[in-house]
Amino acid sequence: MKSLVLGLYAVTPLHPGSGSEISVIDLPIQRERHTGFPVIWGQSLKGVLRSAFGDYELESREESGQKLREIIKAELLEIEKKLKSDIPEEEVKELITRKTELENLLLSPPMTTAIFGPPTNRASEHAGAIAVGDAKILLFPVRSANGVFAYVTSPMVLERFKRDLQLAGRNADFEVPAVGKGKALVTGNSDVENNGRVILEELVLDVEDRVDEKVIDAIKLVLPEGIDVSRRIVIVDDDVFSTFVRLSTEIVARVAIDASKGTVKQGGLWYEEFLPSDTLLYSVIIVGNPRGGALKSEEEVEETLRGFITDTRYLQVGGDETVGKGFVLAKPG
Amino acid sequence: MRRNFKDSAWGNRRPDRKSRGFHRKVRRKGESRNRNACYYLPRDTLSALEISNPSEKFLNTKDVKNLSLLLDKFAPYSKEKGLVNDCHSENPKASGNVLKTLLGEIKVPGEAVSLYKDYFRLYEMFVNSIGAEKEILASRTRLVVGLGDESVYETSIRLLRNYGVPYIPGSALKGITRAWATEMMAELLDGAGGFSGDFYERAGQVQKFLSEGKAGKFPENSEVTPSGEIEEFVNTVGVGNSPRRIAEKLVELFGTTKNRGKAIFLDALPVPPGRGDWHLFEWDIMNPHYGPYYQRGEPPGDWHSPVPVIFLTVKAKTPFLFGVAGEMKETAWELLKLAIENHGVGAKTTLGYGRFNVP
Repeated sequence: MKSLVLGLYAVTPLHPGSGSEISVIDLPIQRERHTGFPVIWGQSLKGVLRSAFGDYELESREESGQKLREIIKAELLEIEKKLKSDIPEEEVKELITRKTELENLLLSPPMTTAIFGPPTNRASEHAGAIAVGDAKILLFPVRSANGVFAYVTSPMVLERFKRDLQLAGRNADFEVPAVGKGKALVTGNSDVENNGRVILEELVLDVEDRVDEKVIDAIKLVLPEGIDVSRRIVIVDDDVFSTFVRLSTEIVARVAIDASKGTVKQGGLWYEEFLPSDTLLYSVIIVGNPRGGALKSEEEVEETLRGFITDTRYLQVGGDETVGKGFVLAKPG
Repeated sequence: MRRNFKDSAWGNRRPDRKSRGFHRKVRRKGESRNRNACYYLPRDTLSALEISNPSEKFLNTKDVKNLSLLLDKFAPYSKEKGLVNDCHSENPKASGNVLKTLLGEIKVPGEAVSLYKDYFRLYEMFVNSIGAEKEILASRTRLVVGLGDESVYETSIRLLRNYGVPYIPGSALKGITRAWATEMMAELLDGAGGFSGDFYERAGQVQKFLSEGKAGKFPENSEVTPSGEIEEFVNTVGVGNSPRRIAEKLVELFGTTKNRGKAIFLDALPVPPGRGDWHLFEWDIMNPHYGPYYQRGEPPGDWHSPVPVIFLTVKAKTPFLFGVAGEMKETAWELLKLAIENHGVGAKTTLGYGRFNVP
């Protein structure tokens, strides 16, 4: 069994929506039922990966200098042309079968099918080669009086992270730290600490101890290069963490303007919740042997996925894509 | 208003105030000592920030490096005029006016700027990597986005949560591009059958049909010969001046409630300066003279006192990085440029705010 620990760093705010709700917030984000922590459900993430990988495959696979997408589209065009001309009935049938085949290929090219499973209409043929876990929270940015903002995490989050790393067969030799009520841990060269205290939002916490280097090393496994968290990481107790992720997400009022009046439309004001940019999430992807399609072994699947994420780098997750939301920098760990 | 000047606190200061003018940013030294602020904050937070006597020292970006946090959670309350001695009895208020008097110039502190630079670099890389059409364009006039956002002050401004730096959300840019395109369509449909003779009603009809994706409701031919701004619009869409063809393309670009649009309007972020503090804000004032008329429908009269409302804006000539991605990025990008040049973005666009220079 192979695995991939996928790090997702939010470059713009994310709205992995859970549907509408009757509450102050009309469009809340997905959360874990038992902890209330923000999450991107595995099925949402798999959908994102599938569609991005499909595009990647069509654009990157080439035969004699032509992209797979172009080859398929060219053949489709030819069939359309033939269908319009005068041809015997048998040939029409053949052409129509081929046309459906090609259209399916555009929806789900061979490697995509091998990794993610066939499209819904042929879902019973075989399973996909990967199991995508929920993207769980690892670091949540909170505004800070010193150091502008802090990357906040908690013992429970790190405990789960450690367990997930072990499940994926990765090195996780750090100790999960204990944090007292109202206390905080920071690094020795912290930018957010001031006189033994940190001020996050309007909350003051006393610095109790230092963060172990090994914790930061473990986080680096899923942290995209060029992002330094060591100077602003703060480990707080689970209750404080839970409060931050519930109450300090970004709530944005959106309006729709009525062009005939120039004022807000009836029903055109809604509140939408976002996971702020600079949030770090991770997901464990378990890779098994492919059961059909273009790839042969789990090694091949893992390598292909890694290559895809390294090349593509940016994924779009959740709602509001057309207004630039939901872009994450992905790191295969 | 005249009566207020006889008030002792104002009487003393009147000549001084007159000589200052509205845009003078720097408060006279020692003047703040006459003021007193209240903070509704936990005692240990105040002591951690070393605030024991708020009349001696007000929280500023030196104490709270994140401007968004400072304005959201560390709002100073004060009486609009004179002293506050007891925070409970005097009904102190947080407003743009109080903020301006107590804090003076609002700026992004150097520490936040240097961290924001890293983020801006990451964002630029992202914009390049998704193959967006992009350009750095400078504002021609003052800009304020999110004037009506929820806030303890009467007014607000949209800031990046983590960095306290102003920005223009992609939703605002998509919104004004669509609004401007809707207006241009309404112009083009002047005198068309089935559409209202009133410009604004017609714009409402255009908006409705476009958002429902009903391009078929638009006529094949237009009675109007496009010129000026309309001509630019027609040329940019690039399918001739048939309202139906234009509508088809706009529906595809902006999407409907059922189909996703084919252009991605990215947030526009300001380009960070070299070093040190970032002076990109400017105080501004609106001075409605007939409050009771606007709010309660009383007849407007010269016995009503003007009530100045002070608010924060982003200075003119601030450069922003704009970007548009997606399948129809070329058309969307040209439309966006025309919209920020001619229509403006943010609040008070009818007064000329939020316009950008497009070369």
